[in-house]
Amino acid sequence: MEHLPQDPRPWPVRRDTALQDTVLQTTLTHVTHRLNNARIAAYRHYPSGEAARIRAKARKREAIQDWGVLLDQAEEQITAHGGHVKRAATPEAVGAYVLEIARQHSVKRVIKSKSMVTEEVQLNAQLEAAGLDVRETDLGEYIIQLAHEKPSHILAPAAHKNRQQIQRLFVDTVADAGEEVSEDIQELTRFARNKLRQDFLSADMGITGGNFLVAETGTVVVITNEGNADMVTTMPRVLVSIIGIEKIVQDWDALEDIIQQPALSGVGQRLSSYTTIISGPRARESWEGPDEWHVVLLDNGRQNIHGGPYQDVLSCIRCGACLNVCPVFRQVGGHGYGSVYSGPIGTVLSPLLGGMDAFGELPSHLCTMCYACQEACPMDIPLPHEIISLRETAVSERRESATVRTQYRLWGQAWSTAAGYRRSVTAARLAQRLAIRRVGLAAGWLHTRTMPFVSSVTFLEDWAKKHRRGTS
Amino acid sequence: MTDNSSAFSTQWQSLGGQAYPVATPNDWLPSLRAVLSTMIEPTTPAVVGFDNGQWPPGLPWNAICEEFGGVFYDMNSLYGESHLQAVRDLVTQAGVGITGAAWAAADTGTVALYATARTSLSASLLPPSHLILLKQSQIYETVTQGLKAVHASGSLPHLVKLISGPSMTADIEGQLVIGVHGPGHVACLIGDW
Repeated sequence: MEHLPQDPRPWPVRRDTALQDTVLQTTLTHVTHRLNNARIAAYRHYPSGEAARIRAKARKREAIQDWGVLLDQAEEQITAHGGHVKRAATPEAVGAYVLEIARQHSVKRVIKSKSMVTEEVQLNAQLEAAGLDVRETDLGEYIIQLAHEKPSHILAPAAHKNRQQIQRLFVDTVADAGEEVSEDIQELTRFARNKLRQDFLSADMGITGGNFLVAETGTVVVITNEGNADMVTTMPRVLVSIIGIEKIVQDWDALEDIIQQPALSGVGQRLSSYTTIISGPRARESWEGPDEWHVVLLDNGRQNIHGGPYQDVLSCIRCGACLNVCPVFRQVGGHGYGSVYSGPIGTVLSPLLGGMDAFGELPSHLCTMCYACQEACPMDIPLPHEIISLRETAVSERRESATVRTQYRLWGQAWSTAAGYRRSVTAARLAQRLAIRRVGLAAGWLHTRTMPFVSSVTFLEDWAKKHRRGTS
Repeated sequence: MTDNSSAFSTQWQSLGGQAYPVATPNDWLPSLRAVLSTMIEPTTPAVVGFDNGQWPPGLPWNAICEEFGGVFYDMNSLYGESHLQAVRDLVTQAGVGITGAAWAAADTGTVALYATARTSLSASLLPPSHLILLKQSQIYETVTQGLKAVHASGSLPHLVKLISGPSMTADIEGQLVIGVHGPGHVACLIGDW
């Protein structure tokens, strides 16, 4: 199994599919603008949230730097509280461990709250292949699970679908024979609530991701707005929390500063509707919570990023703010990236986790260098800088086509001298007449753009002419 | 109302919750009647509460609920035997869950619940309506102060839940819908006793 699942369709196909999908275009524009405006307003009216963000960023960077010690501490604490810890290096290791626990407890039905890391390791496919019934319970994830699709947005996985499509999907997949399903959004939500409630009550195992892992006490924090993670952590007798090792924070001081940031930056709330804080399995005297709690700490390529030039990307809190401001994401949506991690963060993270062979085209083709993502990122991750750096890697590894490489080399040579530049202006004037826009490097570029008109006498030519006249 | 109480009420209401001040101990009865009259539905008459000994004393819960067609179950009465499944069955069918709170925070409009032997998380989660009985002295100015209290308590509760308004989603076309998996109707009665 690959480290990171990849859409086999090439980028031009993914791009054109997205651009021709009018539902996606309408829905995505609406969702990203709404979330972005909410983020801006939330920080503006909440100065202490901004102060906490600055402290959180510094502490998070330190936590990543020191994660070896902190992960050991978290493991000790979880074990001391009666939990079990598994360090998993690969997607297969996660699947094997979860299946082993499921076998020990005769688990048949699994309920999950939304978790990008389980998308990364394709956990549902692994569990379903072994005969388990797995149900996503976040409304957006539920919708795309029924449609056999991947999330198109970190926070709003079904942002590419409209109510009519979802109504048809429910009728085709989960509605009982003759059961009416309305197109009204409120009714669609109520329908999903009723269906999922049965799954919650009958599940033997719950699986969550984790937004933060506090080393000091071995505490896992899970954030949702729907309350589904509360169901998952409260109802089933076995709970598995699967967490990327970069989710580590040092202590409760650090948690206090960072806990509000995903909601502030992601959806413009001061705190999500539900924050679940798990520090152990059910205490003997308590009557709610899982009898057994397992924490899987996933590496899957993260150790390779640590200590290198892209270490800052490990500070990401998966708020989705960079997606909402990105002009490329707003056009092509998450599926355009061909990776479960989309948007600017996915452009950097996907090739780092999944390799340049699979995802090397993302930094080259899916960024306009507008720097909006860097301004929006609450953790100040220098995403544009990292994208440039990945482009340099792509060039040094000669990943562009020979035609493109040759044209850029000739262009570079031409503009490296003043005389070469002047000759290029003359050449451009000629090319304009010959309608060269239909061939070579310019061909694709000029499909949707107008070539600037090259003046018959440029400023420099005019200046040189007048200068000669003045001195003669 | 203290500053923290009124700031909490404002924030909680902005999130879609309801907040009712209870001015004096004598006002608990009329306040409860007012809020429960909006919560109890004939199709789901069960009202489940888990009086952890820290609720306002001496209130006629059974009588108030019966007045609006409801049936009150004190989950403590189920405690002691094979109560886990019984409690779960009851809470699953209930229309209203009533809980206290460990603390609340004004700046984020947050109520914190701990899973202990005498408190309930599922009563705050499964029924479509959740009523929270909150003491003014339990309300901190910030959620940071509340989190410090969780940690400072010495023995960390194994499960802590922070509720900041009703359950909601915007997963279909970005349109906000209240009440997905958790309750859509959340109300706080805030006073002293």
